[in-house]
Amino acid sequence: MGVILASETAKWAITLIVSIPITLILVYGLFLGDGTIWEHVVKHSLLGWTFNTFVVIAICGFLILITAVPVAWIVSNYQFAGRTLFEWTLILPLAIPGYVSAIAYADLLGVAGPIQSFIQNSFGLTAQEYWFPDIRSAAGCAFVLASNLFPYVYLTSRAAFIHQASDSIEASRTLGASQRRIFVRVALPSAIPGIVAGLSLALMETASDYGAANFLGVNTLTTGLVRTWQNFGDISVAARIACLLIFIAFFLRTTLNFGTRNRGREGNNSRWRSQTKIYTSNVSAVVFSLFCLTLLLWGFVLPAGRLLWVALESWEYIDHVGEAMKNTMLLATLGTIGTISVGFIVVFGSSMANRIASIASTAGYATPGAVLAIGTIIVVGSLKLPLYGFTAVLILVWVYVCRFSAVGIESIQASLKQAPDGLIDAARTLQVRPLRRILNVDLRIALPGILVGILVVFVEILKELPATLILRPFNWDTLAVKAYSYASDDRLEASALPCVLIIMAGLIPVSILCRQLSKSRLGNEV
Amino acid sequence: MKYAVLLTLLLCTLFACSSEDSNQNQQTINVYSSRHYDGDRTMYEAFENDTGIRVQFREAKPNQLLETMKAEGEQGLADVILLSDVGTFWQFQSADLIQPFHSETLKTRIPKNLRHRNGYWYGFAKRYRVVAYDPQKHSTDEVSNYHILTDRSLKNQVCTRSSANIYNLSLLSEFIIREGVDYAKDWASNVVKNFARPPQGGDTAQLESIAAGECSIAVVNHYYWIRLTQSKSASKRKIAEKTALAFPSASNGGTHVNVTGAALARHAKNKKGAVKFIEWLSTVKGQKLLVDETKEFPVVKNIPLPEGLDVLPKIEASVIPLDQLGPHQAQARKIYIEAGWE
Repeated sequence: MGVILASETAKWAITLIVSIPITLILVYGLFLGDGTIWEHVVKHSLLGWTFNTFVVIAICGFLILITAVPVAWIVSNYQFAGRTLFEWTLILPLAIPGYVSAIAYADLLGVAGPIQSFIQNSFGLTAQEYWFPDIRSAAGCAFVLASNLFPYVYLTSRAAFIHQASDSIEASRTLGASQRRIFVRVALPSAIPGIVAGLSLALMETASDYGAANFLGVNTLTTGLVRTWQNFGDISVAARIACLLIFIAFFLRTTLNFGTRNRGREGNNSRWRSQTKIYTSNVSAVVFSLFCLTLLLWGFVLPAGRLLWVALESWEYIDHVGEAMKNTMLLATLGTIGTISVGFIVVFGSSMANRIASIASTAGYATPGAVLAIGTIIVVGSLKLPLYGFTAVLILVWVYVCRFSAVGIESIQASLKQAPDGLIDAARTLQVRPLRRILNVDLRIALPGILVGILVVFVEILKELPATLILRPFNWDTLAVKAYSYASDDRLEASALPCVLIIMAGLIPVSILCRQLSKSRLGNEV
Repeated sequence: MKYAVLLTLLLCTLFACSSEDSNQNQQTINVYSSRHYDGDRTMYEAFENDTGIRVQFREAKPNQLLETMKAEGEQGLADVILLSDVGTFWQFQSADLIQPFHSETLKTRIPKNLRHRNGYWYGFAKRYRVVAYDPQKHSTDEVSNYHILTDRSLKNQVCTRSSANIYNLSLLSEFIIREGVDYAKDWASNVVKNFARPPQGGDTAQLESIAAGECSIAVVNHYYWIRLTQSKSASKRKIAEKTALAFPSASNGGTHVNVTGAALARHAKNKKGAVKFIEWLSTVKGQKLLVDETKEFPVVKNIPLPEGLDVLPKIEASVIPLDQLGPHQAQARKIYIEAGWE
């Protein structure tokens, strides 16, 4: 009885922890956000911000779709030079946070960057005498964000192409359908839920991005929100804009649910069967290789390579990086412990408290870190707590929990789903107690997935920018803070090394994911 | 029970991590700084060695510091506030986050126009907002004034950053004081007519645009150009080579000067230590460490200049007391917006 009570209390405590900042923001936004500043924002800015947000989302979505889906199809169906390499390297862009890509591309494609300099020097032109796409624009921002986010859709659509019944594809083939026809009429329709799932996730990230948009000077709802808070000091108006963002996120999230609603657990064996790779003509094979290579350059090699180059050029900045790295690791570790603990408590239960926590965590994931930071500052201010040392670390961990518990919950849930229903039913039939069942059956099966989840949360926290910027304790710099502050002060050289270190940290979970990916289908090597 | 034990353990660890921080006493001061330089750490350490007073610092963008301090209220931890541009100090003063103090040392060392008349803030490092240009298209004499940016012959030749930027707000505030509101309005709207592209990027981005031929003239703070001349990257140094700086002369009203300064926080817990730190910034060591990396000018006489500044000509700075700029900030913002300068 005591255990149940305790866990019930724990659940509600967790629910409160996850939902207080977001609830405060909703209350402030919906009930206190009125007034002259709100009118000013509506009159002068809101339309433009909303428009830009949707432009960025639309272009980003378009870019992702025209790159990620075809490449997933090619990689899972054809044999060409470098296929096995591309299959896993195409998810490397996930290791680069949006603002780091923005920093790299603003330099690469900027008016004085290497590419434009090359054009100017080789043709003897000045920047006014030729047209070049502007990276500091909504489209430029979408280009940058899509370069990081396309692997989401690549992963989900690749999974869909691989997992979909190879029988029907083979049947179509037998019936003489061309590969193109099979793609359009058979493979694509049945892969749509997967594509939509990945796309919603990517677009949620796009909508809540602060770093890239702000760095590139694109006024979206998220940057507008932070700016409103900073320029007018009005937290309730910022909260009202946050409500809009939360609404957009829920819209995208609903689409995601809708897309995946009808997918049951994998029951048949077809996923374990290797699909026959098709050898195509030489020309197509070259085109396929080039296509994959372009995506790899776009998403990873160019931005990471440029930053590495600059970092090596200005190596003396290494002196000051060690401490930032230590702080980053400590914060990320504490944040991960908090986030994953919350994830577990929320996942293993189905009470009202858990459902509320789950909804709040989704809202938290969609809310820019800066807003959540404000939410917690309201609490800290009204409790008259000083915001330093221990409290500051705790508050920051609290923000991380609100912001990323959705990631923890999702990864734990997804890993648990790998346990076939049959096993769980068997445990039930054998009258194994739930806790024992969880420990002995569910967790054992889910452990690898959960470990990856932990890593993903760790890296997400390590990359987190706005909240860390606002709430970090005294004498604390993290890699993200250093990277961004230097870059936004026009000091790319000082920013490059922290950027590279963030990418390297991001590569750890991504490479584990890569390994899983290359093992994900038995008989791959056949 | 198990959870309770775990939680206690976690809390203890955290306390252990931060016990030093919570050890607030007269031997520690807290600095809120909008600067972000590796060298500032060395500066704080030098002060610690000189005085035995420990420095804890928090660095963030000025408006984030402002909002944090507002939210913290009386519980606020800041003792000293380090900010760039007097326009920012005006915002902190308006929000009642800083308090005046008097110091004979600072009065004698810092020129009168570079500190607040009532001691709300003191300037410690000078930065000049100057005209940057393409030396292949203009001569120094031709562009040594801010008025040139409105010249019709420069259509599609002017690059600027956003008008929300505090440097631009303070510059226009000075024009309002010096030449009046009508002049400021004309200036802004005529500069907008000469825009080569919409305002974007920071000051370095403007220099890059000039070097690439996207425009031929811009207004930037001097140290951005100096840093390019000192860059380890050849391509960055090339940008400096392709651009030049012109300093408006006294007959044209002088070059707009602004400062990085320090103020005493309204709810400072260690006032004595804070004042000691602020006064220390005017010592030879303090001045040197403050400007070495930023490439600003020291305000105190006879302090050696940071490396790289010797290439600049003699500067005839504007003599307007900087504490007059702040009150015109809101008006400057309005003028920019109405002129279509985003």
